Amino acid sequence: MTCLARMTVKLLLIVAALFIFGCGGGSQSFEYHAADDPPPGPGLFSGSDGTFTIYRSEGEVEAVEVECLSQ
Amino acid sequence: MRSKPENQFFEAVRLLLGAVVRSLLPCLMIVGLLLTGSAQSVTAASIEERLQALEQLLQQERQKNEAQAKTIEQLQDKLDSMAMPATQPAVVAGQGAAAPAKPVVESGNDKVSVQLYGQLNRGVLVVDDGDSTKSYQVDNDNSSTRIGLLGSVVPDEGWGIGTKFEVDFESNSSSEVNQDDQNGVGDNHFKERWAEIFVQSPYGKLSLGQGDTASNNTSEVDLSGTTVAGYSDLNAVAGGMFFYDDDTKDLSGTKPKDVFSNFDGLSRDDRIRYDTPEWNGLSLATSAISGGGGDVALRYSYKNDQFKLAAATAYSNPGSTSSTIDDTLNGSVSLLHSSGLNLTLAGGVRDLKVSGRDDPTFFYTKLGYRTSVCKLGDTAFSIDYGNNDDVSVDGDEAESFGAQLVQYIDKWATEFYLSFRNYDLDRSGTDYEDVNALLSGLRVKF
Repeated sequence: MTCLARMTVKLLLIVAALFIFGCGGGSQSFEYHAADDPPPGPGLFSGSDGTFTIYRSEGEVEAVEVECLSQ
Repeated sequence: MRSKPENQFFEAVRLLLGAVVRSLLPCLMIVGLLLTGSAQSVTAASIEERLQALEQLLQQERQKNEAQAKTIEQLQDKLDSMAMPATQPAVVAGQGAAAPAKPVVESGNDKVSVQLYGQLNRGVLVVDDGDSTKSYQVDNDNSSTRIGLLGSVVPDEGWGIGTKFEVDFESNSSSEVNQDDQNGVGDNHFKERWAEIFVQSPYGKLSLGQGDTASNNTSEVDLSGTTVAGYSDLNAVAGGMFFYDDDTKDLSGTKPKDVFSNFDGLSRDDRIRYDTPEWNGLSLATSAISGGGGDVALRYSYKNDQFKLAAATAYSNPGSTSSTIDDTLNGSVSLLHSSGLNLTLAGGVRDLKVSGRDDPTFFYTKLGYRTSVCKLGDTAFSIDYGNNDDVSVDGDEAESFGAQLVQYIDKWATEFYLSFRNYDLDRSGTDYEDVNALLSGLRVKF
């Protein structure tokens, strides 16, 4: 096993320890975005949503209208 | 014949009396009315009050009728819209710019959400192969130009269904262009990324179709904020270039992408995948790909006031879908401190089907700093180092170091990036020159 492979195993052990640490309670998770995905947040044309909403449920539409009118 | 004088006198008196009576008669009538009016004044006042009350009642009735007419009109509109077929798009005409953002397309299902998203990522790549320097107009393969459609149904008691369709379109991909192929690289068509149906439930998520296998991205966890300029996928910047061999004074047939790999699981494929519900930031996923391969992956995320941490590790076996790779163990972890300092580590080891070959290994690390130095938005810096051994040939030692700068331009939802990457390959019996690449461009999320 090469030096780098050993480093990999150590890395995985660290990750495993972090898992155990996280399972101990008191942790707060967050949504991770993949490195090659579009960034979260607003879009140039789509605005604060970051997406063009072609259709959404009626309750959400009312919320958007309220938001538009308050601008 | 003339009348007598006495007759004329009587005629004059009669006329005079007539005139007096005619002039006094209206005065007598007014006096009479005044005399009788004082007796009936109480009755007239009560009638006037009654008339006013009646007018108010009539006014109220008119208002009620108008309100009812409006209600009926609204109900009629709703009935008309309900009668419209679900597949027929509503025509929106004459809407001014200030009109509220009503949906252009309507659905018969009032519990769905359909969203369109995407980005453009274009840059200029300048590469020096040790013999010559050339420039290329590229699509940045760190995060390719793409478009997607995400549909989902609002979960009912934790159960929901959704779809994800995403394709990319890379014209002159930065990982494909090279000294012999500088222009028109790629087939000028969309390439599949996602075409899946998923079912969300309290017991986890089940996905079916083309998409991330469980192990995809497990070598690429990175919180630096510079991933658009560079991350553990070292080939994304200029992996398609040929190394220049100083012995033969010619381009070799070897590219960085032949000797560098971040062993990132089974990538995206046609698969069935299951993700457990998240528990304290920890989740487990497994997938089976078409052709017999499979994988399992653990993911973890944690944050508090001081730092954020994300990590992933996976074991994958491509089965019969690969003639060279037996299995792969890999992982990555990234830590971001509230000061902006961040550290990323990734590594992996691979077992090959070919007997007698050394196991290829991979290691990657990045040190970064994210801060705010101008009003445009955050600025992120990082330097990184990657190493691969024995990927293509036993004894190969491939090293890469790089530096990245990303300036966020919040107002335009745009990132400006500058990335430098060096590729170095030590192979027995050759004298390859380093490949040095500089990539700069803009990513615009639309």
